[in-house]
Amino acid sequence: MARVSATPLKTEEPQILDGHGDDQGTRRRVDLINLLSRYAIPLLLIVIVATFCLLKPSTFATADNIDSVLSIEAVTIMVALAGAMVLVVGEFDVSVANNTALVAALVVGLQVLQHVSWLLAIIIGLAVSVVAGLLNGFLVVKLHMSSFVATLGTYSLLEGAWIWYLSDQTLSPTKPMATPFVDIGRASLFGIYAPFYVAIILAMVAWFVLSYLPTGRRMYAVGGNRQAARLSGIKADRMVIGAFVAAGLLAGIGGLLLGAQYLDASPGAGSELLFPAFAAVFLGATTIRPGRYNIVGLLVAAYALAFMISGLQQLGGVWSEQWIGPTFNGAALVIGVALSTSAFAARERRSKREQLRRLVVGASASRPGKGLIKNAGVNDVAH
Amino acid sequence: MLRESASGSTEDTTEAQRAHESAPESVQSDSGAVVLEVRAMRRVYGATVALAGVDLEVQAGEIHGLVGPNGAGKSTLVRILAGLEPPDSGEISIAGETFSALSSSEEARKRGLAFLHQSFGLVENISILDNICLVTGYIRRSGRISWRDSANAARRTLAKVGLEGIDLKSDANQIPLAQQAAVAIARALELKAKVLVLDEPTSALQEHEVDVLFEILRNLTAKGVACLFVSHRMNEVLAICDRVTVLRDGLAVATLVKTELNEARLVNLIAGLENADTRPPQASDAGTSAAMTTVAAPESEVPRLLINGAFSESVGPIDARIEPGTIVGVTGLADSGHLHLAAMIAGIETSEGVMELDGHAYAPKTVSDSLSRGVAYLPPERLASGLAGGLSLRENLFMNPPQPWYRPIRPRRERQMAREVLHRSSVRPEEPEREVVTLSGGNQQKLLLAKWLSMQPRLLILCEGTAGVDVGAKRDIYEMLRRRCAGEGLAVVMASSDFTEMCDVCDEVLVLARGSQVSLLRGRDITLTAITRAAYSSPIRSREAQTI
Repeated sequence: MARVSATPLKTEEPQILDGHGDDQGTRRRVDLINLLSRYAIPLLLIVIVATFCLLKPSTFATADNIDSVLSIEAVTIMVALAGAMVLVVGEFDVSVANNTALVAALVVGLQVLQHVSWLLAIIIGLAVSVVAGLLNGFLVVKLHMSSFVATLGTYSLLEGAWIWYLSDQTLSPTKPMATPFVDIGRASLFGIYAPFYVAIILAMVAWFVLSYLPTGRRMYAVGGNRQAARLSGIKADRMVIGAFVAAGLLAGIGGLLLGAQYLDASPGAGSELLFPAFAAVFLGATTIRPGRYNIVGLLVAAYALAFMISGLQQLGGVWSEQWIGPTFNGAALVIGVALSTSAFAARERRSKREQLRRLVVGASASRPGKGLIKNAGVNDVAH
Repeated sequence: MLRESASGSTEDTTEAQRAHESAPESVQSDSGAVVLEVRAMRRVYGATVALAGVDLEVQAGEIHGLVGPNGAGKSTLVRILAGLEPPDSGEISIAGETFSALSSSEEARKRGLAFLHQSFGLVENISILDNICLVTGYIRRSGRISWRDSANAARRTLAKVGLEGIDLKSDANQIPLAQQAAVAIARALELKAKVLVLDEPTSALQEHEVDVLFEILRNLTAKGVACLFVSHRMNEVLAICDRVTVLRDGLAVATLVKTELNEARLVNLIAGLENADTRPPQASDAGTSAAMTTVAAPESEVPRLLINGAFSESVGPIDARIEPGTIVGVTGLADSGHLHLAAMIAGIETSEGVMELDGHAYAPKTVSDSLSRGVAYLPPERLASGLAGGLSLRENLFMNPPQPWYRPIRPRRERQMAREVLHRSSVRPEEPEREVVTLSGGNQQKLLLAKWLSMQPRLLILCEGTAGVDVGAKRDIYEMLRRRCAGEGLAVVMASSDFTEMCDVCDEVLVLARGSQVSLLRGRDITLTAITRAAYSSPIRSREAQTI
């Protein structure tokens, strides 16, 4: 797991430089394979939706169903975004799932139990999520703990916190909750509930930051090689703490959406988010920009998984049983990571072989035209 | 846990038990008989000839030195003897038996070769007893480990190297290094070693610990064990070796016996200047190599970097003056501390003493400190600490974009700039979106240099900048540096243990040996001989004067 989180995944096999006289046909085939693997998950999403629309036109292909998948999945996407922020800088944060659960419990609970105004409840909830992120960052950067272990600890800590807060009871509001708060979860535009829009907008912000702002570049640099980033003048520790805090905040917003959607906070809600979210992150890293934790890939993967599970459940029979969800998410996570790590290993092998070959060619560039050397294309190597 | 894992290997134990019961002396052989012979050993990596037909002969009861410059093939030879890699051709004879190769380290051990490496190979946080028994086997009674018998056997083992009083229960890393070495030797001998191969065994030891080690070695040879002592410390080789073989360019160029041994001769052989003694001596490199050469040079009003008494645990005190527009080499053998000096200037390692950059006090605490003052540091291991292999060339070049946080990166413009940089620094291919891992070593190094130069530094520190880089890329790198020095008055500190490189590009060369500054060469005085002589000298570091 640690390996996976530290090294971006990769399904695409980078082509090795092969001179000019290389077989064009092979190259075109390689390109096609690259293209296919790059867009395999988006393709899968389309196939899944189309298949279930055909199989279950009366239940799956309804506006209601699509709408509910889109908006329910919003919370998973928030958790996934949080997870991705930390993975980009080369660390791992499991605690985001329970961060979401705790904030969901707080924003509802504070209003119902402590009779706090909805706005203050939200502020307190998000403040708690940021503090949790800060704690993670502190443990990892200042105390040099392994991020997996540290956040596993805070994961349990946060779980303890919300179980204590709710005393293991499900909250049900005795009087109607404030309208603005209810609207966060229930307002709809073009027939789709607000959480979907919130998640999509935040995902776009995250995408923009990671792909186009200097901060995003620095984050990827820290994740790619922390030492190199430091030597380039990047304050790596600050970036890592920042990533944990951003993750906390995103997870907190997820909790807000969760609380506003259900207007109660049933124990267990958060832990159930962990696997779907990380399955989406890892699977997403194999697509669109393979080898990199990327937001578009994450969105596509999250919805592919959500529609798949929703569709399967509507098939009825064995497919609608409880075990399908976790099994499916677990399998997707394992398969996604396996695909990309094996591709990563192949890439490493290839680049090693490549370098060995270059060594041979470089050293014997003075006598070109012999077997190995000819094939290797001296032009590229001998500068 | 240890007990469990140990009880898994029954064969080992019975074998070891037999060893314990057999004669206490590890070997019986006549002094003077050839116990290890290497004939026409050849090993080629790609186009690099590491060993070009080496002949070596080690006699029972002697300490045989093996010396040679970097890349002479010493470590390849040791690896072949250890069974870690096969030779391409040649033979190894051990006590009369001839093999074409030793297929594994297990076989090397069985044939009577034992090895002591720089780090001694002890497991740090388990006891001395366990460290010994892991190699020699635990003694069992009715299937269970008998700790008392095992401890007694271990004590007998240690007694052979004069380590009687040691506490077997203490962890390996709690005893002094010299004793760790002794434990490692003792357990190696328990396997009836005929030849003990010591690969730079003293580099981690203090002066008095070296004496302890030598005492152990002398006792061993008195019992007929042969030692092959691989080292680049001339004074130690001279002090302990009965014979010395010099390896150069994959060949054994000479074997000298005790009476023929002297430092000048050895250094000349290592540097490839057998006839140097007959040449008219040059002004600066004749005589004692350890002497500081002070040459007056034209000095600008304000040096780029002034180092005054810089000192740390591993290097110093250093005094140096680096002028703008010059390339100053810092060189020495692998453990000379030249890389530590580089790290010190970059603010990665702390130092005492005073430094001045462009006439202003300069005391960097971190890399960002030095970077903000215009000092860029290129680390010795490219992919480990200089480049992010999974990111593209463009992202590596512009890892830390200079614009304010709210201004987005414009990929097209960046690609354009990247292409220009790649072109200028002749990185091939000029494809900004390619991943760094797919580049060859030479191109990676050029990319790294281009990246650091694009930060517009005033002082560039380059560590082993051309290690593992092909000849053409080396030339490109030198040219890039020269151009920037001439054009913008960039000053370069080139820390490298490649002496030829020093001669090729440097205006001044500071030679270190064991952390001390032993020579400062300028212009025409920078010769391979001068550098080699200085680098192989053995100065005594005057620590006290600086620390207290």
